[in-house]
Amino acid sequence: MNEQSKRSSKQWVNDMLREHYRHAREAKEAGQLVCWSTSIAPQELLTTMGIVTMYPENHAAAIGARKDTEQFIRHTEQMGYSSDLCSYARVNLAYAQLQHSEAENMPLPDFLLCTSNICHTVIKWYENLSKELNIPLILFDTPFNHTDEVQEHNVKYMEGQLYHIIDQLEEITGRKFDYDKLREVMAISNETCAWWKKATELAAAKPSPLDGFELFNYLAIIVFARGTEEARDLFHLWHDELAEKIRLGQGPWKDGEEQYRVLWDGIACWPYLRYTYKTLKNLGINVVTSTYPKSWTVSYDTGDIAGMARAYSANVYPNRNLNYDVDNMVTLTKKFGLDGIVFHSNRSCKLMDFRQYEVQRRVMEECGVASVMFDGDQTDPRLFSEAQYETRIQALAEMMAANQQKRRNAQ
Amino acid sequence: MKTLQAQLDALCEQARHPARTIKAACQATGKPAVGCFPLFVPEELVYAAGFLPVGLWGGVSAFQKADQYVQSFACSILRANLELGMTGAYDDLKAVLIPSQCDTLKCVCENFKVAVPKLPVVGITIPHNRTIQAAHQHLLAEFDYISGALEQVRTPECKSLGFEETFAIYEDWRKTAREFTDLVPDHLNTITPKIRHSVLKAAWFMDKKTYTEKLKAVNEGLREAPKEDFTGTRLLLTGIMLDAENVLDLLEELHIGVVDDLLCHESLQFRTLAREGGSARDKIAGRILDVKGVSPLYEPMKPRGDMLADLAEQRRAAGVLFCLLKFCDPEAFDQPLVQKDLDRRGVPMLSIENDQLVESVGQLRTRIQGFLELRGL
Repeated sequence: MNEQSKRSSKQWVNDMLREHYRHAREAKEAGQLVCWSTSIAPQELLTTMGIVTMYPENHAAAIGARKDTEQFIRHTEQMGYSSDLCSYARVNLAYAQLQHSEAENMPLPDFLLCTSNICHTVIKWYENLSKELNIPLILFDTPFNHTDEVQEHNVKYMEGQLYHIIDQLEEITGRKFDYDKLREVMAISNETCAWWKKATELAAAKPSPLDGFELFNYLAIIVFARGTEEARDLFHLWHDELAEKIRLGQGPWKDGEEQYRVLWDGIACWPYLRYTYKTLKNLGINVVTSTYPKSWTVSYDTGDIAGMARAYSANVYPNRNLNYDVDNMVTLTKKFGLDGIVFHSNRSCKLMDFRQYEVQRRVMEECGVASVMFDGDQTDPRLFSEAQYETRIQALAEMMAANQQKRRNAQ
Repeated sequence: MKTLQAQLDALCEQARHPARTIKAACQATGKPAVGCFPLFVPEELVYAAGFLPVGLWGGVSAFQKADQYVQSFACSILRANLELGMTGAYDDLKAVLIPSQCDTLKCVCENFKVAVPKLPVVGITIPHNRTIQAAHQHLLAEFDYISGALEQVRTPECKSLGFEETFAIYEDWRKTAREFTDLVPDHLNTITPKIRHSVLKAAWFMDKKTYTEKLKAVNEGLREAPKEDFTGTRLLLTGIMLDAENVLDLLEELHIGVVDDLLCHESLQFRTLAREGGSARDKIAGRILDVKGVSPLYEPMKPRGDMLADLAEQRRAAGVLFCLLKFCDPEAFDQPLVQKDLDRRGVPMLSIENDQLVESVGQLRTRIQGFLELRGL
């Protein structure tokens, strides 16, 4: 048995994360180009070119989880930024100046890749980085889908941009783009996504083998390593571990039973990760899924650039219309046998927030599932109230208990 | 012939009463109206389809129904549009066009479909990667989509017009509006900040051809009138919009003259010159692809600060008032860098955070007075 196969997937995740940051720092020192990219970007093109890529959203989340955000948030406010802006952006814009965090350190970029499928905010955030650091910005613009399907002219526009990005990468690196290599990377990315999907879907088992908040750790890997064999193999291992737990009838926790199964809508509150998790766990509530994981299941036919363009627009739920949001959540509610939904009204993310009220109404109407919404933020600790969160989660538990009782009475 | 003041009063009156103005325009032209949300909608397509395009830039400050759909930290223009739609203010419109130029617009478009079910909603996408050929092609295809959607809501009263003819009407309006903004700096006693704003605002509610004729008469009056000595402070405005009457009054009270603007609601609608050559549709697309200084649109290396500094020099403006619309993310990202660029160019700037309707201007008065004194303006 080699070293790798002895490791649990959890240990492997930690090793990969450490190595990711260490390698990037060394590469920068050795004179290699470093790119900063948004989280669901066509990494296939960067991976094909062998460009070291860092993900500011991942990094800001790590800083948040390490409770190290305040110095950065203070700094951006001194730079003149409004506290109403996305806190990932605020943390990162400050990091680009301060360049040190207790959590992890990533090298400054030589250029940027911004994909607008996750929000419009990233366009402005990356524009500012580009101007402040005086480095090139490559934009992959994915028009918002008001219609139920991605329109063909949007696909053509995105396809045109992907070829334009290839030209830009050739210019920045001074190297020719290798389309054969791209096919290989696309094939691996597809496999990684397939294992990611299979693993996360195993949480549909009752009890769920997955302690839902663990999902957030694995999420960091799908963000930065989607085009690598290592990530593919990691998710394969994770899948096998979860399948084994199902076979053994093991639930998420050794010290408690899963009583309620919920979906977490939106990004975690990183500075309060432990608190939000414990509050749920104390009431036997397990987060078995989220609206998030599917966004990284970017699949296409290998070598099909237009298909890749479509996937980057279609697969990311913030880039889809209200009907899609509702259908997606209804599907997850049924598939994962949910008792409830926790909506995080995340002060940082207007694109996720401003459809939540209607999604909540329609999903409740269609599935009769209990739900609550709480106010919080992904990385600004000042925008979260423990008391409000706890009260809402308690209310959710009461509603779910009442629903379960009703179902038992009806049987 | 009306005096200049009477012509200005008439346009200001039109701006002050949007619903009445739109109704009168519909009656006079026989056209049904279609609403256009901020920021940039290819209005010419609406006009060519035989509708009266009208601007929907909010207008209420109290929200009751809109809060069923969006949290309180949504920008006040779009919350207001939702509120107005839900309370029946847009019932006479045949459709609304909502571009996805920021995250709040994307969501409000989706909510509007549900919250105002009577009104057909056409969600439109304007490409951000505007300098590449694929964007031009995309925009032309998007025009087909928009025209197709408008076709669905056409009524017998709609008399369509060719794109070339429509574009000419709009170019005439834009040229006339640019002439007006060129004339204003020499008539700052007559054209107060509120009058300047109202004259430009009226264009959103009137038939462009009719409006242009009226604005031409104003321009003629200004050309004939002697240039004025203005002893106050000459400022530029920038932002999404500045519509609050009491803030505009405050500017006048503090003896401030608005010599030009980079506001999405005002000169950014007509500032960009049309491209040479190509069809009218190409030119309509070209103007959208070429507009600069607009925070919600992608602009590599952000030229807005330098544009303002150049404009300040051209208009002999003493400084810039950055009208930061509360909860507008694109503006909030631009503001610190615009400040930095203007500092570098030696142009004083004051940022004022504002909603559409500002309840009290007491604090604002102190801030603006402090800014003027500190900068010796």
